[in-house]
Amino acid sequence: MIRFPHALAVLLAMVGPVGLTVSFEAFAETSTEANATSSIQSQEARAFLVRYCQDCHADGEREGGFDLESLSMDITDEATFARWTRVLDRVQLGEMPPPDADTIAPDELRSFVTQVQPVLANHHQSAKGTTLRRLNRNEYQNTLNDLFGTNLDLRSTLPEEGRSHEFENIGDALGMSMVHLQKYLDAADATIDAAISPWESKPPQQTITASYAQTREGERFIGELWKKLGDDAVVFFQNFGYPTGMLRETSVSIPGRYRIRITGYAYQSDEPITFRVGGTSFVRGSDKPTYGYAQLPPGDPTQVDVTVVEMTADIAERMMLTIDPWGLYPVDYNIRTEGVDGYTGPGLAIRKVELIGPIIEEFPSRGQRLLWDEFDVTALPKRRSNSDTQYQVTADDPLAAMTRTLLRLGRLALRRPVTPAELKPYLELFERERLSKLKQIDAPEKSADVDLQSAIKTSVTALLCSPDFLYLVEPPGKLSDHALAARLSYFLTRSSPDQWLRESANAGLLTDDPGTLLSQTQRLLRDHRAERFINDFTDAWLNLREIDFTSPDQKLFPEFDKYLRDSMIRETRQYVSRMIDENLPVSMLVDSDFAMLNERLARHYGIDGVEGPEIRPVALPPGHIRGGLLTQASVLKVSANGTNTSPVVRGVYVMERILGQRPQPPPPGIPGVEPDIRGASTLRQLLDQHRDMDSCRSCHRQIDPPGFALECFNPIGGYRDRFRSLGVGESVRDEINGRRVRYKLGPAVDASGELADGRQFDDFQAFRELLLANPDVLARAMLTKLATFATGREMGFSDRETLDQLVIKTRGGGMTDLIEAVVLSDLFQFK
Amino acid sequence: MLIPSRPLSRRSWLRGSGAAAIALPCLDAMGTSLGQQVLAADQVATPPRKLVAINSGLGFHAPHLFPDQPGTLSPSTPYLKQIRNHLDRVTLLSGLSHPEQQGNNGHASSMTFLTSAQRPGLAGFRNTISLDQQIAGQVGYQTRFPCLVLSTRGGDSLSWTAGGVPIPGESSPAKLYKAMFIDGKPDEVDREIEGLRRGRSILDVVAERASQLERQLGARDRHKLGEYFASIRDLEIRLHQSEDWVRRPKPHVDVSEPRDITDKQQAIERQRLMYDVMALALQTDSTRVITFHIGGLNAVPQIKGVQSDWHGLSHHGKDPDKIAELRLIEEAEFAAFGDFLGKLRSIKEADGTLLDQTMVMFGSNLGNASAHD
Repeated sequence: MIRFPHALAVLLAMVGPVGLTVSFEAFAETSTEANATSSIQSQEARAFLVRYCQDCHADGEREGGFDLESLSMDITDEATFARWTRVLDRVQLGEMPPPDADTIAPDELRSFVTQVQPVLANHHQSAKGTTLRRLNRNEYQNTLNDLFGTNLDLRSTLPEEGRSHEFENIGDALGMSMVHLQKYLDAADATIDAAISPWESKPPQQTITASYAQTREGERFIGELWKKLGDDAVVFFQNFGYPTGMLRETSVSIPGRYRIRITGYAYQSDEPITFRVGGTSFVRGSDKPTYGYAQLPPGDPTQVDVTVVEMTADIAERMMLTIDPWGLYPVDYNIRTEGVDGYTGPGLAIRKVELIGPIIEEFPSRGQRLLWDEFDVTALPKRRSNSDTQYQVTADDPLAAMTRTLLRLGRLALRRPVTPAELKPYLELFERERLSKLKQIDAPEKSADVDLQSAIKTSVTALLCSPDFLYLVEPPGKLSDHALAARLSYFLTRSSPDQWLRESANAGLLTDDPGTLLSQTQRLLRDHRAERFINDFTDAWLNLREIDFTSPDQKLFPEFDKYLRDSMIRETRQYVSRMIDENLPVSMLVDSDFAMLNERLARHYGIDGVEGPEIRPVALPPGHIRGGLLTQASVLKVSANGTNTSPVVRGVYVMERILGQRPQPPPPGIPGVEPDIRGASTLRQLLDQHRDMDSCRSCHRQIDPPGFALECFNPIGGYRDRFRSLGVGESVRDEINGRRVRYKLGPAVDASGELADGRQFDDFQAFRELLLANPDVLARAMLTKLATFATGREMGFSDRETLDQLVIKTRGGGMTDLIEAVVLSDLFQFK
Repeated sequence: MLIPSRPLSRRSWLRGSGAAAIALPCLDAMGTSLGQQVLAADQVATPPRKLVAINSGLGFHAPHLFPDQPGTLSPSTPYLKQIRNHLDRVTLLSGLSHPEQQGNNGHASSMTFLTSAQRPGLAGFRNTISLDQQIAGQVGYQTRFPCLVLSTRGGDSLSWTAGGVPIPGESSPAKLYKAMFIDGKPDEVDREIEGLRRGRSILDVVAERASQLERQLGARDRHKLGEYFASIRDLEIRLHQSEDWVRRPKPHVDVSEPRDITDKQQAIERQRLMYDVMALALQTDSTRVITFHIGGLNAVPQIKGVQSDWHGLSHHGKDPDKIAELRLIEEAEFAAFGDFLGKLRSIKEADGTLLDQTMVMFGSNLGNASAHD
């Protein structure tokens, strides 16, 4: 068993003098595969640990969940490597040993660092590189839709992706299973079917014109809850929940992109009225998408020219439009009991709704041209008038036609040049399928007439299930032009390279000429597909994908509505988008003199003078608490649950996502602190007890302060100076949306705190100033997030130096400079 | 309140300092099940054992479940009252947990309920095979469905492959019923077989390509590509088995096809409908392994007296009103679970009942949802 005497000797050196119990686990691990680069072998390093750490972390003591006995010397295991990194970091940062223990002599510290650091760096350097990265389900969907010109929801048919911390495009964490493969087979089929249908002629655009006056719902509710005016416009005076503003006549039979035109006005109102336009369906399990928010100005039935608002939306099959007014609450009047005729308050009058589409920009679709251009396609006579047209696909020389098809498709789908030789298996598959079909019809003389559709489809499906398509294949070392093109394209457009990027790669310019790489980066950032980057990146980095993870308690937060929820997501996305467009400095991550607002957000934040549903940059009044990501409702909501906020959860959020530091999870066996919203004590007070325990303090003095600063924001991102409570507290005489509020006001908020380094703050603004004092930290965090997302791997120990250099290089620059710096760095250009 | 720690090695895969209730099969039952008579009588001589594992993602309010003292169970707590008729068959375990479950969010531990992998969702996390898949790998070939992976919400599931990939859960009882009990028309069967054959020929081609690619890759990438090879192998076996099953007639049951409940607020009714189909699946030996993930709901379930969002109630913050509402929901869940046990018990199999042949595990990955613990 003891094949490496030196490993044993080392272990004894650690164990001997202090008499630590040798755990079987540590012994076994150390005695197996230790080698020069992946094992900490310095006796001095061990003596150092024994001297400074054993009091609290050995002999049965395991403060903070850390004990030396189980710390293996062999760092090849990922968890062990992470623990050693942590040991080094905490000692180097002076966090350990704690203030009340021995102080380390500087030369001892230096010696410890020089013994451990290179081993960690070497090991990481040797093992780093993006692991063969499967397209995640967003990337997969984008790629197929872009390739074939389809607009299919493939994402929801695929299994949820594994995540590494916040990101779900990390090669290591993206698994593959039989389930995936089965779904890929189905998805490829579905995409091909959608791409080739319809083939013969472009489906005509239709215009559906509808009005509420002529619906079944109209017959039922006009005169009771809805009011019909002289011009046949129908007025909604409030959002009843039921009836909804569903418009049966707008049911869509061909899914696709549509233009929606709504004609109407704000009735009995001096102010414009905002409304939501969404979809609803009788199809089981369908969701209720929001297509947009719009506003109609005041008007009346006698007006001939009334306002038309327009928007476009992708509408699924059998969806019907629904229009719901926002912000209308009859005061001192009950429409249900008192009837609609006596009511003189404002209402949303809709004269007519038009739905025009489907809008087809490209016909025949990219997919049809790709798949069928080399073949002869004829429409077969219809058997029944209402059945879909069937086609026959043939070719004089089927093999030659399929070879050309595969060559064209192959270089697009595989994101690199392809050779006929490597496509041969797919061609052979085509031929086998064709011959088997031929056998079925048992008439060799008709071979030229055999329909080739299924053979083409099978062959193409195989290509789309091949590892070359499903994975981003990157050989070790510096990336080739095509690998680099793919990386850049998946980073910024979340899909495969477009024509211009492919041309640069073909010419070898991406690896050869940094100017080309830079200009391609700038071009893609301006491409409309960059919206996908903003969405996917903010979903992961800021966890916006969990915006609906909890729904706010309606009694505690009656002001929360769908309009606010939809607006807050758009606020943050457009904020990040603007930071890139305008190349704004990283300090803007935590503080800005503007905010991206519409009327709903402005009301939520207490800012006057913002009208309408459009989100736009608005200058903030001097001294206003808003500004920066941490004051945005989306961020404050996803870092809370539906009833309360936890300084720990928010503290971790800020540390990980804004400061780029990863606090350790609590040690096993430590119960979480259970929130108490009965109003007697705040979570902060409960935490104080917890934090006073020695084993908790060292981590919580770092984690909690940012969370304390955010105490002045409630779970939906509203400002608060007192907690709301459903138990003890002061009653509130207030109305929200026409209803008396039912929450009470509990204890006062304390947003003060002290950072781990001793700097104190009285409130959120003071905390924000402290964050701003060190922009390098913000830049480093941002660069790390971007590099992680761009490369599909976690940044590790040996990347620290590169990231530090990038921080220096981009000082004084803005968000776009950061993105460009990442792309031009070795982090991005090497596997 | 906690059972003092004693060796629990056989059962220590249960997670949750909270709840886990198991109905253990009676070990001496003999004879051939109805299922085998209908289906694959030639394959197995002894009655098959079955596993059902159910996880309630939002957990249960522990004081309403666990009695103060260990010992023989009696209907002494609100939730035990709901399953009072079956307490003679239930072992209740408290204080169980997997180690190191602080993941990337408060609910991450639902991924590891049946796997016990550590640090869910954090860097380097790789889930491991779930208990049910381990079992399905051994016995799955004997039934039309090697396993059923079910969930109240599409996608979510408790089941993970050996490569650490989630198997998406099926949430439609109607679809399950159709797949298990309604025979396809002859041309549908032909098309299905053609599809399976075609799938296999595609797999042959991409497997060949993957072998070529493998030679160009470094060690880590090769390891990753190993997952791809494993997926191909698994799917090939599965397609092959499916071909065997496609032509066999499906069992016929006296229960008519269920209609899915699309209103997610009818949460308990949806659970009940799923339980009914699960019982049918076990009764007909269509599968022997079932997992069922009961996800929480970010909405108000339709239960008399409940006015608040369920997930919100689970974060009750010790508010007595919220706990009272939560109790109504969780009592309804336990009542539905009790009826499921009752159903299994009412079905004769061999010399005993279906429940005798079935190990049912009912628990949660959260011990205290209000603290995300």
